[in-house]
Amino acid sequence: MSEKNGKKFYWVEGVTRDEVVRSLADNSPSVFRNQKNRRILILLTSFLIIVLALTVFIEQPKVRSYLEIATLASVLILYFKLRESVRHVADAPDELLDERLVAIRNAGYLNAYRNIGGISIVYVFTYVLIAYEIASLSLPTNAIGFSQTIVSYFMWFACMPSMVLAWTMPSEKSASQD
Amino acid sequence: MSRNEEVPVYNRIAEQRELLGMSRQQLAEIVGVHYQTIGYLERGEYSPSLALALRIAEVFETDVQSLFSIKPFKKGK
Repeated sequence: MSEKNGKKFYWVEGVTRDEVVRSLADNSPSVFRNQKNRRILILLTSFLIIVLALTVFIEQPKVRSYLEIATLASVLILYFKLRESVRHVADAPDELLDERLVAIRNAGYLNAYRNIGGISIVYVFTYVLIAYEIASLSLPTNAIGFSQTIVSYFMWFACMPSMVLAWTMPSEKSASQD
Repeated sequence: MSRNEEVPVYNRIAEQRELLGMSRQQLAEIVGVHYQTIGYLERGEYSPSLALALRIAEVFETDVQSLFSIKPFKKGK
């Protein structure tokens, strides 16, 4: 593999070839080899994304902006940890995976699509309810900023494929057993 | 029939690999799959594509039918 190829960045997938190859070949022990730990990581990420979406309801601007920054930074860190926990399989292009991993990734995307559908419905209903509330209270339409809610929605999109794989992939056996 | 209802595919990969004194990692590198995939194949938790089955059979210099079967292999055969 040439140096140029090793550093190839897949723009659509958001990974480098080197990152995926290293991650797949990594036999070193990691807390993320265990399914239970990965599930804890998913629950923590989900909780923080929900907190990020709910910061919209905090009235004090200073507290709100601090919480927004803290939760967004935490979610971003956990997003990269999630990708790492599934060896970047959720983001890797076909050419870097074998047929079993491609099948796992594709099945994961199907479930991720369904989950995102459910989350979208929740967001839409919440928006509609808030819109009715704003209208009934005769508040100006810009009474509540929604940027953090939109960011949280995008974070669900970004994290969901890795979340599904991290949830469903069994605990890994050591390299000597496998 | 959905893929989940497929009949299991039995194989003699582990047996053949051990005969050649090859590790799963080495076999994985030769046939171009992740080392865990060999473990999944040997345990019968994953059924390979025809192309992969042919590549594995080529490594062991045997034919696909003697390496994979939908009926359990007889012990010591």
